[in-house]
Amino acid sequence: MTSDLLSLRRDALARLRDRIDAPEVLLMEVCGTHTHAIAESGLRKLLPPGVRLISGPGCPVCVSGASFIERVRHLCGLGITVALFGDLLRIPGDGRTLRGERNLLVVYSPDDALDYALAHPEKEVVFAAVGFAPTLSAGAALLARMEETGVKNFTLLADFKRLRPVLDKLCGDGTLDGFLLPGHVASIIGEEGFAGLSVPGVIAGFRPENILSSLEILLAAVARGERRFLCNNYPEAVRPGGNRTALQWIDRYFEASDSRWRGLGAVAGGGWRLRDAWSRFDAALRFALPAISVPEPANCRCGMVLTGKLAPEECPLFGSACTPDDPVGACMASGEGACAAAWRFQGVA
Amino acid sequence: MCIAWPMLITELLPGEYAMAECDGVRRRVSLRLLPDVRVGSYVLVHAGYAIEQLDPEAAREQTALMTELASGMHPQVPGAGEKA
Amino acid sequence: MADEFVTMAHGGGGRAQNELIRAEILSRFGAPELSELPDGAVTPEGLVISTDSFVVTPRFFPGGDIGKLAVTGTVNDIYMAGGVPRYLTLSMILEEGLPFSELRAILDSVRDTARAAGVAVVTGDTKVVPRGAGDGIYLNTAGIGGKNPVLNLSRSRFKPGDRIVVSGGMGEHGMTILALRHKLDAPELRSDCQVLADAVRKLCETAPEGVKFMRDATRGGVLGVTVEIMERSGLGAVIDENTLPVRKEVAALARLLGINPGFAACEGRLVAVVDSDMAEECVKALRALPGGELAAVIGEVTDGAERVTLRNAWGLERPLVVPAGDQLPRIC
Repeated sequence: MTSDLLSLRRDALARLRDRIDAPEVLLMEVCGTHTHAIAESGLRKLLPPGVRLISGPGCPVCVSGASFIERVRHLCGLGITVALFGDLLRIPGDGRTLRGERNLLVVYSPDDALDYALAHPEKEVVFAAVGFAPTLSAGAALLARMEETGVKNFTLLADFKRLRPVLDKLCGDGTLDGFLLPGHVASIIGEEGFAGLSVPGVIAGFRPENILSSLEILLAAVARGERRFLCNNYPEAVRPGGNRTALQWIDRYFEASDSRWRGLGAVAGGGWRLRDAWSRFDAALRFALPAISVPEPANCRCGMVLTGKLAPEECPLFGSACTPDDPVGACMASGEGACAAAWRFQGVA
Repeated sequence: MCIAWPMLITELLPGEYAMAECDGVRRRVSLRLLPDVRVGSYVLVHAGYAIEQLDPEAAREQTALMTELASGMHPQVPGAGEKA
Repeated sequence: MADEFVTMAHGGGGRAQNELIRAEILSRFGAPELSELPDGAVTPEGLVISTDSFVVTPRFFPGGDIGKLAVTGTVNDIYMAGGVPRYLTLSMILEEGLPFSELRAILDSVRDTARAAGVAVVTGDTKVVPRGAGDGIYLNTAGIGGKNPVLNLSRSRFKPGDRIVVSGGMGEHGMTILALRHKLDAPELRSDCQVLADAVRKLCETAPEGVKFMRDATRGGVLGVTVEIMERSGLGAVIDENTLPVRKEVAALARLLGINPGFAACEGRLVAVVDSDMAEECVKALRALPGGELAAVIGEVTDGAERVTLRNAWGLERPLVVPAGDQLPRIC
């Protein structure tokens, strides 16, 4: 976009903001990929004074917390081959990351992990993952293939989260004016999945252009005072009903359950558990994983950052005790965390 | 929290699989979640699974412009934006 | 450093590795020749010396193999230090069970690459470790050459307005390896592994006085090496994201894997700081070389604090932050 066009967009946002009486408009994005895209594009510089775009609990490794890392480490200690996405390797568990653990296999796709298990029937293999709806649906597809192949040496350790109850909880505080909603979660759960929120929401894609126009639409809704407003600004990839096949597969293998989210505590219906009929695919059961509860690091305020109550720069550890090289909590350790994004973006004209 | 990119389905394979392609890179993807997809469809691929179908015009625009997101890069790529 | 144990990040070409070098190597061996942290040392007698070790898996990949890398890696370091390489040593650590057919193929590559580069392998060593104690084969080469009389390479010559030039597309070696590992098939993509003799020759012919500094972009990639070049220069730089050259396959792999190709390893690309008057000519000369079609000016040296920034398509700038260690494919 040329600088003239940028100025026009900036002015348009400023004019929208002028129509709003409140001293501050608080908008929240809830997707790690949006956090990353917004930081990389420098988009915040276009926002007028009095409009704050904060990061919410949209980073799966951040909200799953340190105890998931320690559960994986426990499995590694049993000599199991643990396949996972690269994201998990950077997150501190009980002081250490998983780097250096034996028998870790970084994969691009869980399907590759299953191929590996089928090719090595003498090994026990676990696919360990956290994630939201898209990764959950990949997990369901994986389970379908596990069921089909009758694989005996491959199980799943998952901490998939369900975003909707958390959005309702965050609305309940009354401080938020609107949500930028995650486009690829919406691809699975559809516009319907976000219907009925008590603040305006715009389903956004990932091009900076799209995020910018989504923010304009959101700000306009706030200016109109239209509380129940949902716009699908990513129609090429999001249908009203989402991906029905994916939702059916998810329903076959998983049921909603209570789940702990870092910064929010227990959230009713905030996660997914494997249905009892599929307990043979559950790594936690197969390997009798003990309940591992890891206290979050002392002085770590990820919980407050994740719920938008503290900006990354306001955390006393930001940039001093907690840096990307030496992170204390997941928000800095993860490439999608709010603190990591704030770090990458700080300074410079 | 979900990196997913448009790819073109170039060939259906046995089982739930298809060959998908994007800018000269090919990968087997699972169509378990999107069984009605045909050769020539554009789909969003997440972790080796097709999760949603895209309409061709939108995908053309997506691929060219989604490069802005790619790890903060905006590469000057010969042939970028042209669809195979 | 917070670490008690060596981790993979210490070999990744990022900040962890740089910190290890500073804290453990320079503190013990801080000779004047090492103080600029060059990949090659230039001695008062006019010798240019360099060494490099090779641990890549897979050992064979499109565009090369570990044998070819063992020659190009060290030979390029000598060129970048302003030398002309003449002799190489070759040390091998072989794992029990390595097939002789592989060893022969690798050594043939060493021979062929050295011959084409005009260097002679004159001495070496062979060790064998028990099965399981090594990764098939580890290679080390050390190289010696004389000084290139034409080049005067020093950060002290940098001035604001100097251009930063790259000799071809970014990240092709690293992405080729990652693609293989993750069953992504990119038939047109191969490692950029090559000796930089021709590129250096073109620069010497086109702008002998205009070339102020060079580095080959290995681990850490083009952007990583740009940050290294600007360190201790007292000056900053701005890189224009729009001009960063990347093959379309590399861009696609970057998206799918969530990896920044600017930090992905190269094995045959140089980044040079060139006087602004001669930058375009240099790029034109580099583009004439096979594999050099994407050579480009990617940024310029600026006044002020030692900081490299990236300017994006919208003209907005942010600091260029080198990843802590090696980049891993990610899903979020």
